[in-house]
Amino acid sequence: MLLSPARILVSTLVEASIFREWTVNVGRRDARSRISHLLCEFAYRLDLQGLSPAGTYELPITQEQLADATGLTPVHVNRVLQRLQAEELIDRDRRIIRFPDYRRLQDVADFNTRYLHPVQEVE
Amino acid sequence: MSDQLSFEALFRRWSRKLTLSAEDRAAFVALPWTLRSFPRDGYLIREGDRPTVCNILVQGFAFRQKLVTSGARQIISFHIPGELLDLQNLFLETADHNVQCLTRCVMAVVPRRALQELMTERPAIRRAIFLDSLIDAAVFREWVVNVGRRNARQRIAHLLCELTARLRASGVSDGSVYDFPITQEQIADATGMTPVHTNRTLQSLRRDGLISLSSNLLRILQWEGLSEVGDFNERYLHHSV
Repeated sequence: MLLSPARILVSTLVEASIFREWTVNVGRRDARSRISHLLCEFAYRLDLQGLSPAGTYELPITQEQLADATGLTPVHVNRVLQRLQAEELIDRDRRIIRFPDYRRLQDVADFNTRYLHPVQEVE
Repeated sequence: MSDQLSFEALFRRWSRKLTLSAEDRAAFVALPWTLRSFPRDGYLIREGDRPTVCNILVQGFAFRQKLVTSGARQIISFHIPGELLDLQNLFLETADHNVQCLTRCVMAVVPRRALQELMTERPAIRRAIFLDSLIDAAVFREWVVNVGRRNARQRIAHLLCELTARLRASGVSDGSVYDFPITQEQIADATGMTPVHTNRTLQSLRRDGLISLSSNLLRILQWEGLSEVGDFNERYLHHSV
C-alpha cells in the first residue's frame, strides 16, 4: 500500500503525541500509575492492530526494560508489579499478561486514549 | 508589522534546513492568516478542543502542558518566535494537550485547511513541515530522557542549554544573556521536580559560576561547563539537516 504524504505525517504526529505522554508519565505520575499507564498503552496499541485476541498479551519486556521506560529502578518495578498482581489488576504468567479489570487499571493509570488519536480523518 | 516581518523568524529557521524560494515565501505570506495577541498565561488551545487553525509564534514565548488526574502539571515543551505551536492540529482532529502563553504573545493564525492546501502545492513547504514534525518528536524524546534518567542538576542544566541553543540558532539572541521568561515553578513542571528542589538546584548552578539569574535575566557564564553538567548534545535539535 502506498502511503500518502498526509498519512505519513499523521503517523509522525501521533508518535510525537506518544512521546509527550511519556514525558508526562515519567514526570508527574507515581510508580504505580506509570507502570499501569505503560501496560494500558501497550494493550491498547496491540488491540488497535488486532494483534492480541481475548485480552491475553505476550509482553516481551523485561523488568529492567520496564524500569528504563518509566524512569524507575528494577527493584521498584518488581515491587509495583507484585502490588498490581495482588490487587488483581494484572495477571502474569511468564511472558503472558492479562488484565482482569482493565477499566480499573485505566483509572489507576490515568489512561485516556485521546493521545493515541485512534480516529484520524485524512483527506 | 509588515507581512514578511511576521514570518521572518519562521523563514529564517526553515532556510537553515532547506531551500525556500521567493515563490514559496510569497505563497506562504499570501495565506489567509491574521495576527492575534494573547495575554501572559492565556490559553491558545485546550486538551479536547477540535482546532481549525494553526498558530505560528511571532512574538513572545509559549509552552505546552498536560495535566494528570492528581492535578499536577507537566510542561512538555517551550517555544520561541518562528515556531509552529500546534503542528499536530494540522492533521489530528482533537488536541491532546494544552498550549499556553508564557509571556504576552503575538500569533499568526492560519486556517488549517489553507495550510494543508499549501503543503500540497509547495513541496518545499511540505518538506519544512515534515522536518518540523520530526524534530519536534526528537525534542520530545529528549525530554523523556531528561525527566526519566537525569538527576536534578542535569535536568535543569539541560533545559537551560536547550533554550539557549535554540535561541542562538534562531538569531533571537546570541545566547549568552537573555530575558528569561520562565518561573521556577514552570522549570519544576518542565523537569518533573518540586519548586523547592528547583530553587536549590538553580542556586547550586549559580554557586558553581555556571549561570547567573536575576530579575528574569539569564546569563550563561560557562557554556561548556553547563553543557557538561547537563549532559547536553545539540544533535537532537537537528539545527542543520
